[in-house]
Amino acid sequence: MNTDNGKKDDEDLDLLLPWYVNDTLEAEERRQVEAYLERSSHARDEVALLRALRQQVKDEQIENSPGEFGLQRLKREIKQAGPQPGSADKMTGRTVTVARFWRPLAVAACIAVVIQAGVMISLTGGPGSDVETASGNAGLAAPVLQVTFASDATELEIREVLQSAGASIADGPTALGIYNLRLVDAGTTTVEEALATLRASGDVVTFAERN
Amino acid sequence: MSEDDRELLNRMAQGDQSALDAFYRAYEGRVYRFIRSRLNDSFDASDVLNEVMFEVWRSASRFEGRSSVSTWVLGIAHHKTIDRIRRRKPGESVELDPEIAEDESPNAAETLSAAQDAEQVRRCVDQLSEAHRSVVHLAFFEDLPYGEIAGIVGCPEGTVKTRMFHAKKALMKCLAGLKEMGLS
Repeated sequence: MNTDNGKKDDEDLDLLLPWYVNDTLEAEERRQVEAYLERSSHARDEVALLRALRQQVKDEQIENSPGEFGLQRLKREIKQAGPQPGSADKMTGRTVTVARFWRPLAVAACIAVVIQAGVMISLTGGPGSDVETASGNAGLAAPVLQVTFASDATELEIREVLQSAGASIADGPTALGIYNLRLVDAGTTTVEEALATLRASGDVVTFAERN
Repeated sequence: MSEDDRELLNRMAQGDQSALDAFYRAYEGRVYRFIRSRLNDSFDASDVLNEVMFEVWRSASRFEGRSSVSTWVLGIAHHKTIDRIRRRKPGESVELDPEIAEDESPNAAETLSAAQDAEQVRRCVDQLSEAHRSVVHLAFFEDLPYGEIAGIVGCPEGTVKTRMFHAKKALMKCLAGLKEMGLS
């Protein structure tokens, strides 16, 4: 093996080092890399660096994925798009487009329901005599809770749960169907009490957590 | 696991939503993390995840088993992410195989201490091109062989190796720079 060939070989082996580190090389390539590591301090330094980088990539903390919220959102869009096509050809793009088209309309419709719910709570003499729209009023308490509601929950059920928890809708739904709630009267209801009441309403409230 | 995933896809192709639930729960975390490693926005990443899973649902019948299920799903995520980046920056091309200047690259031993600082590595990874970030993520978070990464990102194996090589050089240069500035 001449010098030029030797150098070229080492350059090729340098390219394999990340996959030596993640332990996915085929046996023959692995054997060649191990021989390279024995004769080259440069290669050993590279492997030490790559191992450190790999560990940092693995350890990096990111926010939680959407989880069950994401699944609920997906199922809503699948429901809107209709059943699986017998032949999927050419359907995927069209249905995604349809789903995208309907998404803002669906969100707008949900907001309309929320606003209507706020009006109805007021008319029925519920907690808080002032109408509280999703856009909020000056001086209102900050949202302290996040909830999602069952997809088949009625306005009446949602209203009753919110009233019993002493909470009102501050804003939402988000694209994932999450509503932010505030306490109607923080002097008489604690966040823990409201949370416990919401969580006890398992058929209506599918998720409740502090904001 | 792979056989189970294929069975889930078969059931999804028939419209079985319980299979969708199981598939989503099995892959959602990995797919989200892959997308998130390339998009610096959790809302965009959630949106793209939704698009990917929707595509998986609608295309389940078209999975032919030529690759593993995870390669297929991550490949869909790769293309959806590129679509999102293009939509975010209309008119701006997505850098698919960037080259970097390699002169005066620091050596590995000099940058090793900086590479052990999580914050510095995160900052430097964030500065990588989208193409480099994906290969680094797939090689070091997913621990995938280069052949499988090539299948996901749709390029030759040699290109995957050189992208990783350039990504490493760029990281070393960035880490050395931070070290010189006294930030590590």
